[in-house]
Amino acid sequence: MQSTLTGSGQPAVQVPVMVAADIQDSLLVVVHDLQRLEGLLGHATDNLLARFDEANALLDPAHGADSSRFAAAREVLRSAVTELQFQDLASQLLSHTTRVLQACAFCLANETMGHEEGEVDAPLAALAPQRPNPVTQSEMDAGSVELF
Amino acid sequence: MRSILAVDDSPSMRKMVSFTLSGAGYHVVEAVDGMDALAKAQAQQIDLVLADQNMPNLDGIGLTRQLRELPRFKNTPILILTTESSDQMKQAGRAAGATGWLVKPFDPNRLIEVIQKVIR
Repeated sequence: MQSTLTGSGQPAVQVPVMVAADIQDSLLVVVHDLQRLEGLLGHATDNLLARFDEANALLDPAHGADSSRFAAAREVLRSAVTELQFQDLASQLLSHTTRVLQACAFCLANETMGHEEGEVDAPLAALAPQRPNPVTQSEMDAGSVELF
Repeated sequence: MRSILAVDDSPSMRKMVSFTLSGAGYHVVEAVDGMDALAKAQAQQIDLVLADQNMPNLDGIGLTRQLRELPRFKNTPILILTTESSDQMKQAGRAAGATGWLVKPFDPNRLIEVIQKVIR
C-alpha cells in the first residue's frame, strides 16, 4: 500500500506506509534521546552549580579567606560565569530541535496514515516551533549589548 | 543597597546573575517568569529589572509593557537579557519600553558596567 505526501494539496512523493512508520519511529527515538540528554545536562549543571557555590563560600572573605591567592581564585570563578551559562543555551536549543522533530513525526503520520475514525487531528500547530530558533550562538563568547 | 529583580525561567541563569550582582553589592530578587516578576515588583522596592525574553506565562517584552503601565516603573531601567538577537525582537523590546537589550551569554564585568550606567 502506498500513501501520498501532500504539501500544497498537489500530489507529491509516494511513500510506502511501512517506510513512513520506520521514519516516524526513528524521529521519536531521537526525540526521546534529546529529552534524555536535556535531563543529563540539567542534572550535571545542578551538581556543577552546587560545587560552584561551595567553592565560592570557601573563598568568602567573611570566613577568613582574605589572601591575595583567594582573591585571585574568586576572580577565576567569576570569569567562569560566561561559560556556565551553557546549560540555558543548550536547553533552549534542545527544546527547539525536539519540537521540530516531533512536528515532523506527527506530520508524517498525518499525511501517510490518515486518521482512525473518531481520532482528532494531530496537534501540529501546538507542536511546531512558533518562529526560527531563538538560539543562534555557536560559541560561548559574550553576547552584544545595546542600550536604547 | 540597590535592588535588582532578576527574571529568568532557567535556575542556572538566575544563579549566575545572582552570583554576579550580589558580588557587586546589589540585593537580588529572583523571579521565575513574567507573572512572578510582576507580583514581586509590586510588593517591594525595585531599582532595576533584568529580564529574560522567552519565558512561560509572560515573556520579557510582555513584562516590560505591563511594568511601564505602573506609575512606579515608568522610569525604572528594564534590561532584557536573552538568547534572541534579531533586530525585529530588539525593536519590539524597544517599543515596549525596554532600556536595553543584552544577548546571552553575558560577561559579568560588562553586565555590571551596563547596570551601573543605567541604574538611578
